Amino acid sequence: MHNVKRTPQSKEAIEARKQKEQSKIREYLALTDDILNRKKSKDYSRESLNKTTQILQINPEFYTVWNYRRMILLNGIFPGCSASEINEQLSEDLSLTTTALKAHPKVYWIWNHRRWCLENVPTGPGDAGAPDHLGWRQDYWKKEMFVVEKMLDVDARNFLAWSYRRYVLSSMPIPRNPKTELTYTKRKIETNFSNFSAWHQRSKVLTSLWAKGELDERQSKEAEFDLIKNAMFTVPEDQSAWIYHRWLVGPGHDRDILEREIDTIKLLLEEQPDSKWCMESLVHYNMLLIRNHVSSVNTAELVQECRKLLGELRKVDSARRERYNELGILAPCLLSSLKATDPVQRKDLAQKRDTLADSAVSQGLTEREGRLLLFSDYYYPWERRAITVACSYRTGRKLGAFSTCIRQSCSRNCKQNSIAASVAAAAVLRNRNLGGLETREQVVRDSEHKTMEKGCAQ
Amino acid sequence: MSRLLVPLHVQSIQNLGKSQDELVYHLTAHLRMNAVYWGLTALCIMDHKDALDRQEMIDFVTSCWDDEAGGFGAHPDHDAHLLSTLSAIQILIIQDALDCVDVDRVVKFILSLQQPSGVFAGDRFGEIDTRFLFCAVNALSLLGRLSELDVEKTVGYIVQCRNFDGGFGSSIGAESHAAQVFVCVGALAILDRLDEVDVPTLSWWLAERQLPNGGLNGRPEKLEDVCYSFWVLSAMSILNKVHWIDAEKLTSFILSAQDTDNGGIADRPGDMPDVFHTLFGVAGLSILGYPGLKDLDPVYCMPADLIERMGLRKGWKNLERRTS
Repeated sequence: MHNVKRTPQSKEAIEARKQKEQSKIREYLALTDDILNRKKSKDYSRESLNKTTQILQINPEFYTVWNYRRMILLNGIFPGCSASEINEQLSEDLSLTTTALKAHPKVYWIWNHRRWCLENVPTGPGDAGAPDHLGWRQDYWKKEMFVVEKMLDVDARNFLAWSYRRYVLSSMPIPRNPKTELTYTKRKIETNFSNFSAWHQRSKVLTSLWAKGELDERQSKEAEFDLIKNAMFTVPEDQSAWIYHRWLVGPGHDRDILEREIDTIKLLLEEQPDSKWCMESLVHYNMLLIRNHVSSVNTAELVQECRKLLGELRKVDSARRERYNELGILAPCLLSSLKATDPVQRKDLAQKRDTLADSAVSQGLTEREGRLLLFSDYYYPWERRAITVACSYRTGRKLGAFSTCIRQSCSRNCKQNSIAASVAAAAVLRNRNLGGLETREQVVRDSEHKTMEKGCAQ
Repeated sequence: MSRLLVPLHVQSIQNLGKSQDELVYHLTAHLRMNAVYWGLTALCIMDHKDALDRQEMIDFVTSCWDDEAGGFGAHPDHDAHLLSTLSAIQILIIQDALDCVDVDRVVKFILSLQQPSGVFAGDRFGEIDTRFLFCAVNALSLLGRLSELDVEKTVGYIVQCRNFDGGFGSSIGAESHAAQVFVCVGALAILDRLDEVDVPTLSWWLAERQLPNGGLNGRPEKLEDVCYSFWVLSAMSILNKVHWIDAEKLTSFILSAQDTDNGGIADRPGDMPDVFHTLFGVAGLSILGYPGLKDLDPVYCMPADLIERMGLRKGWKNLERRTS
């Protein structure tokens, strides 16, 4: 139950309410029994259909009855109907769900039945080849956009309605120009910057337009930076904008954009010296500078700045102080690991493997630093995977899972697996507290064997 | 700070089955199987497993068997669905009564619902959702039949639901939502594929679910709700990040949502309690190390000692149990 206020009631009041409910309960149970009996005897008559309408109007969450209703339509009603009669019946079902959705906008089963109706609309009214051959379907899909927009007007964050919207957009027989979705989300965002659902939808639409080459990525990104800047300066405490901003900046390969955005945020921080989101974002973007542009930025200064900001953050956002503590340890740790194992600089596979194995064991596999290394997204996914494997093994409970991971790592198809295996093997070697000696040696032998195999194959 | 009113909550769960004179009891029949699982798990965590009659419960579960489909419905004569099938299996495992199920048929039912994309439908009518994928993975794992699942295909779908904020949605393209994060991270944990999680980004997103009043929300800029104490915390426990939020404030928030007259926990202070929020409130408190509670396994949302005995424990980490 959500959002139902508790009101203290006297014993008498509760009794009176229960008394009043008794006849309703009897009626409801009689109807339920009748319907479930009809269902059991596979009664697919019009009369049964009407009974399902009756009970679904009282309780639209009764999923078994929605199922039964579809069985009646498919087996009892549609077979004797013309296409236009089927079409009319589906119209009725859609109205039933529209009414139900108004009262219960977050009931999955209702949205689900709506989809089923739309997917069962027959072709027509025209015959194959006629211009209105798909006329009914097109009319419905057009109406669906209207329905879903009404639903989002009532609750702009209803995630079922947003999912339905994506479904309608991808199902329309004549697709809309996807750029109209940019207009729609912008309208939603400008009504309320906090509407993260709209920001999310926007990120999906843009990504798809960029991937298809239908929109110039660089140019449209600049327009997004303007839009988001407006949101950040208007409501700097609202996380929707900051999360979206982080997506726009991305992994931070473009140093100019990174530095420009850092400057913008610093301006805002001057106006809002306590702004948690300004400080948090500055830490993140500074770390991206270190990670991606280590040779062309003043790393010592950036690390220093991160530490200062993290100190402030611990005060203004104390609920998350532990996270800021760990970020504070990570910054210099990141710097040293960058210097030690820069994958671009070290081309020699063996050397890289040894270094990684050593660093995983020496810094990664102590309890706390292991966590930090896992945290660091500097490592490529396969390196993270190796460390995950090693750490999970170290926690001491997962010998079976550990072997599975090794196997999976090794079965992937590139040289990286050998590194994963060797990191894990090194971890096992150094670890004297876990597992029987025999098992340990077996795992090491297996890992080395795989490493050699992969090495030879290259 | 107020205390967790264990005797009152136990009583409120016992009373659930006795409220047949209320209309709402009958209007929620489609959730009955889930409700029994919620109640039973909450009782286990509060160390009152025996407060409900074991045999009566097993009889109820078996009476919900849908022989046509080969799965469990939510209530006698209701259609089989993955949601109720998982709850049924969880109840029977907690009660050590799995022998009354035709496991082969259930496994067949579950596997039949996997779609070519890798996601699962909830039943034969085809609604898809990562929730159903989790139900399938979880149930197969509990039944010891995970080896029959196409893991790559399953993981492949979850990965496509991952968003730039590190979270996961209900289907491809959907907005990140804490409950969907739990189901996706939980499924990946069971499948030993947590390497597919963007740990730093997701942990950040999860930590930002805590609001100044201590409660957690499920998406950015939304209201707090006790049930997210479990959806968010379970994922954080699996990623070893529970210490990234203020445990004390969240504990107070959950406790403040108790109905101090009739027992039970509500979505937020002052609202009507129900067994769904009672479980997820108690589950959250267990993850936070609240004294006197039993350990909860955040992956399966079942008693941790049971999952450990079954050899299914993953590398999650709850806060240490406090003594006072």
